Amino acid sequence: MMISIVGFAGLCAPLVYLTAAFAFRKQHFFRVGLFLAAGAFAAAVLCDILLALAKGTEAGSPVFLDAFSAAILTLITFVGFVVVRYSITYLDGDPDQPRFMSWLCLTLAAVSALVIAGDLRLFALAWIATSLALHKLLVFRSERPRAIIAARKKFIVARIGDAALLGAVYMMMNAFGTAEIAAILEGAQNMKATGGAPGLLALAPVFLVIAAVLKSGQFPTHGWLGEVMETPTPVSALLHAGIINAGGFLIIRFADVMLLNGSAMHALALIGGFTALFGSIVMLTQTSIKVSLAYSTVAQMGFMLLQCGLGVFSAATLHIIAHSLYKAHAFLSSGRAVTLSRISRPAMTQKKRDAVFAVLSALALYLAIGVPFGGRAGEEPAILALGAIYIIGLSMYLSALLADTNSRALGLGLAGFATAFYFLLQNAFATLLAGAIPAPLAPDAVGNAVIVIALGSFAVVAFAQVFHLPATDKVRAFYVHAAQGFYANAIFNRLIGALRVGRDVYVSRSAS
Amino acid sequence: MTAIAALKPRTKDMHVSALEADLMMEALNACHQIAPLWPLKSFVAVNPMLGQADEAFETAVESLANNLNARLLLDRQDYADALGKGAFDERHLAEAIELAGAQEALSVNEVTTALTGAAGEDTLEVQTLADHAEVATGEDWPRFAVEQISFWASGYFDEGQSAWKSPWRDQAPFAAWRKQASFDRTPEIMGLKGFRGVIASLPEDAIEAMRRIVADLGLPAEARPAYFARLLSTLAGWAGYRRYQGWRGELKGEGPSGVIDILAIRAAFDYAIHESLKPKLSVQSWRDVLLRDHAPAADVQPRIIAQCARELAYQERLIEGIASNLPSARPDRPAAQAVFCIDVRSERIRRALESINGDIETFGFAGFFGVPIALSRVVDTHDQCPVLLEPTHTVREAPRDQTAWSAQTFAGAWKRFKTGAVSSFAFVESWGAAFAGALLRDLMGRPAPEENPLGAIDSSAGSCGGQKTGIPLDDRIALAKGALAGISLTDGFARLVALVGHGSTTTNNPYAAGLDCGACGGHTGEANARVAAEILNDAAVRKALKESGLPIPDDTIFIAALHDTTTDEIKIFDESRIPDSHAQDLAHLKRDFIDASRLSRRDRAASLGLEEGPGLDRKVLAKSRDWAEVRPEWGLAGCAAFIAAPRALTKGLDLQGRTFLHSYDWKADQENSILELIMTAPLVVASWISLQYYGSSIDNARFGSGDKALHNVVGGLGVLEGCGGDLRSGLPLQSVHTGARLFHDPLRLTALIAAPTERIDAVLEKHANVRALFANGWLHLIAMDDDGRSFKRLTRDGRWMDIPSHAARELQPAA
Repeated sequence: MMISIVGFAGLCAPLVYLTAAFAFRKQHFFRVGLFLAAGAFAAAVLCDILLALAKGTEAGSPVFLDAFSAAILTLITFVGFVVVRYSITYLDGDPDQPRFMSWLCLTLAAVSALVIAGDLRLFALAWIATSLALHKLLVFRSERPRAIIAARKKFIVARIGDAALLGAVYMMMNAFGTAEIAAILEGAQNMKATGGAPGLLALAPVFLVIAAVLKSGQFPTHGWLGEVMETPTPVSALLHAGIINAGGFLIIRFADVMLLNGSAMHALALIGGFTALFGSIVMLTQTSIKVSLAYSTVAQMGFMLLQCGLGVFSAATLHIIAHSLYKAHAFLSSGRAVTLSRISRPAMTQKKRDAVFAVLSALALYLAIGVPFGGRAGEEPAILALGAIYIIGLSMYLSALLADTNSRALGLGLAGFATAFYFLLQNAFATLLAGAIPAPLAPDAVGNAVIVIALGSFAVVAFAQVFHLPATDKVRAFYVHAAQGFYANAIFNRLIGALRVGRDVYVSRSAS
Repeated sequence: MTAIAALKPRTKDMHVSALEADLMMEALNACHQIAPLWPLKSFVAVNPMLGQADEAFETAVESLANNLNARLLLDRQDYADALGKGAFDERHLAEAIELAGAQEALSVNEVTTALTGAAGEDTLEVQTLADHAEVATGEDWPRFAVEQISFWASGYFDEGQSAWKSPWRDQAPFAAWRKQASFDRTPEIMGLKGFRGVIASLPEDAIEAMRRIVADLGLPAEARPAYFARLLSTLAGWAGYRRYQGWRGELKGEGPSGVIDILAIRAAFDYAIHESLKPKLSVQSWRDVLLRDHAPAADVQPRIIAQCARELAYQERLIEGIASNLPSARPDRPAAQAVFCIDVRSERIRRALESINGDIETFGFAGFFGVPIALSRVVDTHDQCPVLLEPTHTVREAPRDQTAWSAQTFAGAWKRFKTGAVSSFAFVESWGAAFAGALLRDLMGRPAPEENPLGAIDSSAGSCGGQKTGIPLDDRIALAKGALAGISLTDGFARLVALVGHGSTTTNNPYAAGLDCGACGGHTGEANARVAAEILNDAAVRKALKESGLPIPDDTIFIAALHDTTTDEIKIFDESRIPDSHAQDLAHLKRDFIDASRLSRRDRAASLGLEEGPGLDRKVLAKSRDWAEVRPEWGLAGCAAFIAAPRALTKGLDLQGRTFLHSYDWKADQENSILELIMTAPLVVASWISLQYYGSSIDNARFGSGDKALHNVVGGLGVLEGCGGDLRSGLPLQSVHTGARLFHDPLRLTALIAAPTERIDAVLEKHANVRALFANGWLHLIAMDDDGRSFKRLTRDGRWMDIPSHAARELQPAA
């Protein structure tokens, strides 16, 4: 087993986190722990540099590092460092802080092992370890019933997900006779190219979809995600920025295998697209900063899986990274919600002409900036669809600006800037990941139908937000159902007997 | 048994109106027991025991334990430890027993034995039907009820978090909740069959609904007060917020009737639980429990004695210090004068400033400097005065150009982009990656400013949008007179008089306003200091003051400044308005401020867990910019005494940042009106602050807001601890606790007033509510003579009792 310098650097990340977990057990080694967390990030950056210089990959066992996994490793170690640094101050004085820090680092060790794993067995092990270590963080305040309820739901969902993953691992190992991920991906590519019959392997994508959907808090198993603010804020930041996207990572890592089963891809797109809309509608009604951020994550993960299901893996990777950075910051700075809530939302324009103007401006910006960037603006239907969703979103922003003529010019400028940034990143990622993940594929008839459904429903939801809904009892009832997350979580709570959790404490208090 | 006989419902038709009137009274009484809760953007201290203020402390200890499961005393072990460590001794216990008039019932020995003995049983709570159902079914209905109602309330009261607002915000809370609850299927999913139907069957009006519920449950009149109080206590946060909403009305003499809606909602939930789970519940046994007499826990009295002994020990140290302090003479013309807020944090910086330059004279006065204003800014208009007052004038931040308003729209549109359904995907795709920069920025302690600095303030009389703004001349004269008299600064003016307000600098801190100036309504004192200085420099005001016999030398200039309590820096405002003739005075004062800030930081270093050394200034500064910092400063933690006296009596003493210092010279107070003002306003505010710290330290679960690491800002107005439960009131655990031990030593406030006892009596006579605070044992009152040599204690029954002072005795022969 030969291992290159890149591979070694990558392997450093989980090992360094393991050491850090040990260091954090004693208060006076906290500095060492922090230094090690910084070291993990440095190792990831080193991987990036080495990969860029050698323009190749470390595709072996136990480490598989290419542009894709190196990018994700960099993300995770960066967020990891921020979260570790934050927690040292945030929980200062808490007698349980060493325990917290240790589990934080163990979780990071597991996630980084998952990302660099070149061996299916290691991959599965890291996948399960991540979830178990996270569990310890979720019940950090073990006296809180809601923390236990959330962790219990997460535990059930995660174990089903584990089983699905193990199923997929078995099928892949069985089909290709190896546990080496790089070899499996190559095998899958060949099979696709030669049109070989996948046989039992065709089921692997189905199991991968199940595992990914369960890992990413997709409807209807999202409930626990909205309750994990029962544990200190840095856990939420790490979870939402570094762990929840493991589902997307799984799909993208095994994209070549996924492509063997078009139906699994369609199912993924539908589940993701539905969850994206579900999450973002529920988010509108949420009143607490952390719960609305959680529903935002549910939605964003749905959108990312929609991108995966449509086969646009580079866009999905970008989405993982952009969302992680945004969400880590949003959680860690959630104390600023008091200030932010004082900014009032301007009324959306109610004039049809303005709305049309907004849509046309967004479209014009998109084309004006997108075309010079090259064909990425709209070659494949899937990319075109994502572009259309971007245009819808941008026109919502412009609709909110139209009320104030003074803001128009500046607003259009900022929208243009954002759009340029959008294309820059999309292109950069497509180029960067070209060798690592499959190119976007042309959809079949079902795929086209999925795209039409997604686009149509996204447009309807956007339209409903810009123009006032009628004040009828049906709409009011819909508000209540949406605010309660359409009861998916309530049903889950009932199933696990949530009202019985922690009541022993309560009863002994009131009955004595 | 008699109680059960009384359960027979009176025939409804005949007694409806009488019942309703009674019910209204009982409901209002319950609402009075809820302390108002200010929103986080203007968070001010409130006495959490406000509703119990007209009960004796000892009675409240028991009623709060029985009815609300709340504690007002430390654990006996804490007292035993304090005794062991010498924080107080048996002398203090003996004195406390004597003060309680319990010499016959208890001996010192019995108290110490009780403190070290085995723990007593918890006292029984008054049960709600949800509690009762929990015992019967084994399911946590009390928690469920609170979560469901809190879920509704956070939508109904939301001040800017959600994009899609509750559709019933224009209706009264009860009606709005009733509508929502008749759609919400959650209770039924969780096993409460027919819940929506029961709620929909109730009348829309809160009181009518209460009447139905009380009648249907056969709730006897004598059980209602405890039951209602218990129901409301489960939603003390939202009920408190509701009470805050009606606070302006209460200042005008109205009752907290708005809170009745919350009571009715909680009662309706209880009722619906009962209706849904009827076969499993025995309403009879629930009523029995409600009517049972509650026996006080055996160790309550010894703990009350020990608590009092701790306070006596503190008083002894304070009095000994003052008695042995050598009063300093007032300089002929001080190098400069600086007026600070009475806030306990001012004591440190004043002490530091005086020790840097002995020729500087300092004063203590409420930090709004007597100008109760509302400040109108682009973002909003808010009150800059104590919550016991209503602002009398509105001043405007000088109108800037249109861009300020456009920036608002702009920020709002960006927020829509970020938080809209569908548009949020576009936001993340285009802008998400840029947050790497935001993460780095915060990581390195360079956070983006959360609020725009205050621009020029226009306090001249005018009007804006049909509303009168600014302060007309007559009022300016009156305000100036009132402020100077209140400060006891009527002669001996220095060339520079700094009015130093205070504020804090923290980031990512939902409780930021709680660290700002309470006298300025939970904002920094900048606006008030600047307006006050402007008024006092106003030539027309000076002229009028001179004519009325209060001449201020022409070479006296008032300047506005702000003490940053987090960093201890002092910033001076409107420097351009200070004439060149005073440039040198200003330069000296600035230098002294800088030195004093440094000294004060050193004084605080140990409490902040920092080591003295060259990097200290930088580290204190870093705390104020650290987004992960949950204890950027200790706020008013430690507060223990309120001293109204000339500074000469306390100058030179290290009071450890634990005392509110109000300048007061009774000899200049001919009509006793200043003492009256001090005892009815700043002293009451200080007692609110002290009792907030007291409650949040002793029972954080009930009176505090819990773990900051779990805080979840809700509706932009308050916090939840975790993902649900009631809105939390009071202070976070981290604000009073180091993690290892309580940082705030919970003592009832000691008021120490340098004035003849007759004068104090005169005020107490006139203000029954203030007298009640002392008579009921919520705070202590001690009078001292002009030299700070002899001290008298006000006993609970209103007598004055000499306090022997060791130091005074020792000093007397020499004197």
